[in-house]
Amino acid sequence: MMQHSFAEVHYARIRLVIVLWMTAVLLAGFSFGGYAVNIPRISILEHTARNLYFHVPMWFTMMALTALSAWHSLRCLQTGSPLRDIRARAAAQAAVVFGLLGLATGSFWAHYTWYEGTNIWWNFDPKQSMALVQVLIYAAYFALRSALDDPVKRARISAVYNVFAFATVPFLLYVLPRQMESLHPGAEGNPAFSEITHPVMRLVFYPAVIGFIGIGWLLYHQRVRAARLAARWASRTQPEM
Amino acid sequence: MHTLKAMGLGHRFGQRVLFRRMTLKVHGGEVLAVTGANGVGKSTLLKILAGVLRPTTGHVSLQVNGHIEVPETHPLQVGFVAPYMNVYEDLTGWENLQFIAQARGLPLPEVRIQKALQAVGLAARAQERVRTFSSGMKQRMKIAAATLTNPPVLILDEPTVNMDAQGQALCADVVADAKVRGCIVVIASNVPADYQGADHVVAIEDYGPKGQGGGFDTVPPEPLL
Amino acid sequence: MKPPVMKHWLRGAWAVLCKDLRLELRSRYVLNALLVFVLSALLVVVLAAGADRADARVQAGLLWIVILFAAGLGLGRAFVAEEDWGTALLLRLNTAGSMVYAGKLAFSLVTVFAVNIVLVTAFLVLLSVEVLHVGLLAATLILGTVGLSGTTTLLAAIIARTARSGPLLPMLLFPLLMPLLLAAVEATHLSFAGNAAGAWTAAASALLAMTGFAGVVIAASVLLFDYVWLD
Repeated sequence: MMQHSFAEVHYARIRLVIVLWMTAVLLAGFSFGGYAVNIPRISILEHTARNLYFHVPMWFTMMALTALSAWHSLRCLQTGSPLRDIRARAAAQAAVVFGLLGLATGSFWAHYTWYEGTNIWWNFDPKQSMALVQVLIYAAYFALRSALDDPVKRARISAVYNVFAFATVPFLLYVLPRQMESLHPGAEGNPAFSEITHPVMRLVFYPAVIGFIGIGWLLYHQRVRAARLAARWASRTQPEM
Repeated sequence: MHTLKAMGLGHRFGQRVLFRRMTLKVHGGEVLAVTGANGVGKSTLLKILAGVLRPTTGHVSLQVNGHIEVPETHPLQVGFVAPYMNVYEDLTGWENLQFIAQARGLPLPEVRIQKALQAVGLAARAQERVRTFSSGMKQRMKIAAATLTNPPVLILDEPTVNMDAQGQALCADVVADAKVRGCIVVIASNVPADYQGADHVVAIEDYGPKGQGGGFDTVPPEPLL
Repeated sequence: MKPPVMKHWLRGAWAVLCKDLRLELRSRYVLNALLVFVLSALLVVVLAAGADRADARVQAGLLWIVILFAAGLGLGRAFVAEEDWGTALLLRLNTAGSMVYAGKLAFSLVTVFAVNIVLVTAFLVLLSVEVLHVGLLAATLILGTVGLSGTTTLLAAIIARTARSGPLLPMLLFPLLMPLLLAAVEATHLSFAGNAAGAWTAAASALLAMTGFAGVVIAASVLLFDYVWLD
């Protein structure tokens, strides 16, 4: 028998709340030609500064999902529960989606502002490289999974890799910024986030962070449900142990 | 007194159920025979009983001299002979046993190694690499490796495969000797001669997806001799 | 039976190391493969990238690329070989998992260190690099070897459990080694081109990162190894 958590029972309602929330965020950020929440013009960025509402929450969501994935992998090792494996994989898949979206929004943003008129789409920014490495780690994680046939072994071995990889990531955070120059606020020579972000932007920015984390959770939760159904279907002909 | 117990044992590979609801109990000095066609899970059951594979459901416990072994030390109490377990081919017979003795910190290693090699008739070729041995000699080498420590549990998977008549007699001697020493012996085989006189017989098919599982067949087969 | 005490544990790990060294000295499989690989890769790098005319930063980077690829190609066999030989079960029945990890890690350290000495000597001669801070270069190589071996040993155990292990090790290894690689390149660069007085100070944070990395990967490996090694 499946046990139903709060999230499963109230899934449709939670989804509705998140959809309405994101609609409100988008309306606040962009309606009336963007003047609903009027932002100050900063040279180079101008109106594109609103990309802040998308780009930064993507990273937050990816990091949240990465931590969630590592947490479920750790619990998978401790309990041996197949559900933990399903959750770790679903969180990793959702994290890759947001990692790629974060890379894309950042790359486009930089290309049409700082690198306007040049051919530059990519500069080795620490945060950019960091996200790329995280996506590569998950690519390796999925490749490893596909090389393991027995589900029990696959759950355990891939959980080890996921936890092990998570332990090495903080070093990247430490080493990268000293190797590369950054466009991001707070880096050497750049003003801190609080200095360039007008308080009025935070009216939209913080709700957007919450909204995107909500969307990340929806994506993750849907994949968990689908995987659980698939597992039940696959074992339908087998007797109870 | 040693006791090997399995409670409500079940194992799945992927979605496929190999066996389920298996309960058994073997005491020191007794022989348990495991039979079944190839691929039904004989070797899987043996690995579970050896403590090197966690069953999907249920658990195995081993008591040595009345003390329960924790899962970490359970495999160290087991001598194991199987087609899928080898000794190092690029080491000599002597070096293989020396490695085991060293890793386990056995006292008087040289005396033990010499005795174990003599018991399987390989003392004369102890300084040659296992790679140069015939398959029968390799099988003897595995028996020497499994019995070097006089383990309380001896598990033999298809022990007479690749063995000539002399080798089969050696296997019978090893089992008889283990029984005298009060070891628990588990033999998986489809050759009736291998497990004649066994105290218990488990046919895996009885515990398969279609079987009912449950109790433990304690009726021994009629000895052939 | 009591869990293994320290002396017992060390003896077990030592037995695994001695066994691996003895097998390696008989076949020279890993050592030969690694030496041939690093020397030919070095030649390719020097000729294709014009490394002899490159600046010190690029030279340091190329050196570590060769080391990284050698590790990805050559160190995957540690556990795959045990599975191929059918001896993994023999180890599981006679030793504790942590002894196997420690023995294999020690073997990897010895091999990588030996190969690195040959590689770096050849590198310095071929490129006529003048090392200003030999001590710094040695410290970087030692720390790099420890971090590299610590990471590779656990991943080698992981790929031994897969059905198809082909090119899996480099794929699993490279993203994880990124921080180690960057810090090692920085410290190596400083040992080639750092100014006389401040090279050690400038390299301090890179060396610190490498030490921390090695410590964390080995600690994590010790905690995680049994989940990989046992079924």
